[in-house]
Amino acid sequence: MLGVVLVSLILLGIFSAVAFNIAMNTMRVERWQREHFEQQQMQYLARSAVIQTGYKLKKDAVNASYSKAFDSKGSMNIIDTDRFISASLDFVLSADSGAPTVLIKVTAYSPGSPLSADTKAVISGRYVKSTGRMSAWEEDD
Amino acid sequence: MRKHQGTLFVEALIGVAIFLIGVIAVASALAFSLRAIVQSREAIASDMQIANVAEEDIMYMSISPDVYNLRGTLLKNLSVTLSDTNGARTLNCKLYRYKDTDKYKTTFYILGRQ
Repeated sequence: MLGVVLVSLILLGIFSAVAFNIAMNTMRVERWQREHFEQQQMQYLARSAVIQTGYKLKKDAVNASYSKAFDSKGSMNIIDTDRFISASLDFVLSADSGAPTVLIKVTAYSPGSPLSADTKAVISGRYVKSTGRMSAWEEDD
Repeated sequence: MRKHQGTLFVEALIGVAIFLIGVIAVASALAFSLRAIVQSREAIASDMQIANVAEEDIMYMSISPDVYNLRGTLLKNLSVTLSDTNGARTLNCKLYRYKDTDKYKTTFYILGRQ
């Protein structure tokens, strides 16, 4: 009888360990998925912000004949109260006087992220004055 | 002290009952984990779907910034002032929200032209 009880206890222990392991792995995957999703959110915001900045330069007639230097900075806060989401975008525009391109760099981050304060996306692209289009996209980690 | 007849049987019954309670608890935990995995799979599919729409729109926007229609919901107007020694340049844009069903809270945001 003692043997049966012991074997039963061992089996129960194994079942418990398996269930616990599955639960822990599920939670880990869930957390990774959430972080990946937040990162993607920031990337989309930063990428679209770079596109809009390039479009603004085009509308402002920043073309081949425009020779002034750029060293502009600005920040934008985004809050969606419906979804309790907040994000900040930092813009940097830089170009030497007479340079053929303007570097547009946008950093998007979520200061209120419960997961990680490091969740951010840094996207840069070059606005080509002669064509009025964006090129040389880069993404920093 | 001499044991009463049937004591061993009662002990065994109690042991089996405790074991069964444990097995039921573990089975419930397993069932919960499996349900969570299935829900997680559905959430990933939902995320992917809405992310694809947002990504496509960004691609269209990138290809032709003058002409495009964003499929997200217009949320609000935003602006940022980019200033340097040459003066200030104000970028006005619109914030679009891409969201799936309320079940999974999947939300992406895109800045569109004003």
